[in-house]
Amino acid sequence: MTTLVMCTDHGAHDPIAPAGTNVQRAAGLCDQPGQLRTLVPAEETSLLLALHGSDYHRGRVQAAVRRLGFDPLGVGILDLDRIDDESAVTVAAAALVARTEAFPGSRPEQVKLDRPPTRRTRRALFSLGVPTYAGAPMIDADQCVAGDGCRACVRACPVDALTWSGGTVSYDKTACLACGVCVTTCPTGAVANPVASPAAVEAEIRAAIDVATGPIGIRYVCAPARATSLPGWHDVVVPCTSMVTVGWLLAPLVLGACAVDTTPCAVGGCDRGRVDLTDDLLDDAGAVLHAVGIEPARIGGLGHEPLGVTSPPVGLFEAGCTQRVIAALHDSSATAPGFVDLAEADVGAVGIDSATCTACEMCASCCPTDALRSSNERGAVVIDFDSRRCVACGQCVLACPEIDRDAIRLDRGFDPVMWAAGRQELRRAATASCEVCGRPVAPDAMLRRIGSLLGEQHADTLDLVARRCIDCRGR
Amino acid sequence: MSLQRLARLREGIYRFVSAGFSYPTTELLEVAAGTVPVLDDLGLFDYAFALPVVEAAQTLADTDLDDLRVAHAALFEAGVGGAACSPHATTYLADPRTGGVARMQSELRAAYRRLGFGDDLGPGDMVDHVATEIEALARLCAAEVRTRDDGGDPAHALYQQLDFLVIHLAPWIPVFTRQVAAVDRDRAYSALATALHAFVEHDRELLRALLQPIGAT
Repeated sequence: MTTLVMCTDHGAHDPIAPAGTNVQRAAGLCDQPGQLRTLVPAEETSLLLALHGSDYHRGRVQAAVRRLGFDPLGVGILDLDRIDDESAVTVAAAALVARTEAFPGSRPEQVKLDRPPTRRTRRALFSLGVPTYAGAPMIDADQCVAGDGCRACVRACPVDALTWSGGTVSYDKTACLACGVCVTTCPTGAVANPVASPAAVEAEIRAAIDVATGPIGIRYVCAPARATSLPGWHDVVVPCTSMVTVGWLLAPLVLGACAVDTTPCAVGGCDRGRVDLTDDLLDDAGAVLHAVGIEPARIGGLGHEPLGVTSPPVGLFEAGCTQRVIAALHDSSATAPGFVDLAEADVGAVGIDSATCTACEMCASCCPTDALRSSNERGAVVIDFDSRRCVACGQCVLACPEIDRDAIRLDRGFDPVMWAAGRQELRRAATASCEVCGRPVAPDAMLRRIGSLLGEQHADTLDLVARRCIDCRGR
Repeated sequence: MSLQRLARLREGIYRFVSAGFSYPTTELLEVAAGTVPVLDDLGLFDYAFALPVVEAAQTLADTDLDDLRVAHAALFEAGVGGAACSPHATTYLADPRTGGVARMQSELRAAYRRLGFGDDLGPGDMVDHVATEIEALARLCAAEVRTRDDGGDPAHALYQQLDFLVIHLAPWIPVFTRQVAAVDRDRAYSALATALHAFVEHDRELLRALLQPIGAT
């Protein structure tokens, strides 16, 4: 059961209470959050507050809800300063209840002190305000594939808070801005930030679409932006809009929204330095929609009917979101032929040059999503590729020992026809067999490459290496 | 809020957790039952570690003393195959094959001497026990409180705490906590370890944040 407590200062709102929600109202709640103690029943499992953003101190509210036994990072706060329309409050309340109920919980590593808003001085050693806390990312070592060379999160981090060394990723909480980019960049879903949980965001958007009485647009808003809500739109607050991928941006269309948009925190320059990516994101998303036969005007513009995608998959926002979203849109729409170039989107197409590839399988062994896969089939190494799994991390290109000879190529973007075809063979290389035991020795292409590097004077060595496997060479 | 009050709060939490990992006594249960109101007066609920600390205090206070002693023995005291969850830092940080345990214990003794309480430790004392290391931090917080009471500059005391925390305690607490959580059936010690983990994680970040601007402006 959820309790929604609303501050009645500046006029009381009277939204339709979300099903199963206990609504309480209190004057002066923003200024005196301590009165929550008398308003929230002890047995309550989740809590949502409706406060005026300009009136409350986040740290004091966090302390008050902590006293009630709630994890402050899991308590949704609806900013009444930003929403003045009654029906919008109703939608926002229902959506935030759903998000609050889907809160995954936070671990000690996932809580960080918010960066002080001003430069601190030595005086800071003597006085301290009530601290405020933000959610921080944590890497699940069991899911992380940094050991295979993946460093997608490291490359994406705008402030170098993540570093890769010896197959593990280290995290500097002090440097971290908690922007959430690493969460949506991770190809395996190993990075989790409790305030930017894909499941919670999906729950919020589904609830907003369900409750809205007409077509509704979904707009991602940077937490610091405090943008005023617009009629017909529901705002989904994220730590930073740079964490929104093409998949996250378009996913609401799959769920039944009529339009999508994003609002970074500052006009003309985001203080987290990633506002340039927002333009690329919108362009990429428009290109994807165009390619699958959907009006790109749904980005930023209301006035469309929902797409009517039947049975959108649950877990749409989890790792691989862009791939799932394109698959859903692709399956339900006409497609335009040709490759669609995308600037930043996490979808890609890999090509292998058979003339220079030695079939060493390094590309497949380091692919974090199994988009590239290798197998041994009757005397041949086969490398195949599924563009529906590729997140364009570029790990295959980094790992390729023949990259100087352009053995592998990654094009960021997608080809609707290739997408429809699914997994395709990219490379088949015959392997030499051991003359003693019959087991494979190495791909012929690799042996030829070794021969060309060794030169004629080592022909005997190459002959031995090519004819016998490592176990039989001493016999 | 004064950082004097925060230093007292941090000292109180270190003392409570140190007592919690020591051999259980009637006094421990009394401390556990009375600790939350005391810490609350010092602003406990303003900080992210409040909920795990409250949970640990309540769980310990609600656990029967005999059950707690059985759990303590089962988890932390060496049996035939060693303790189920060793409470010693050297188990997690030192390599016994290369003499790492003795070296680390010697480094710890040296650290305690430098910090001014090496005389309290006898030859047989377990210098790398979780309760001992936490007690050391409690004393460093107490030194900070005294400095602040005297109107002195707390920077040195804060540096000492951060050094000890980062070098000796913080590196092994997450693994220790996971191990206790996996083995503890009565939940009292897993709640205590979780509280310690949350507090250490917070303290490291807090101390870094407090010391970061020194010399910068």
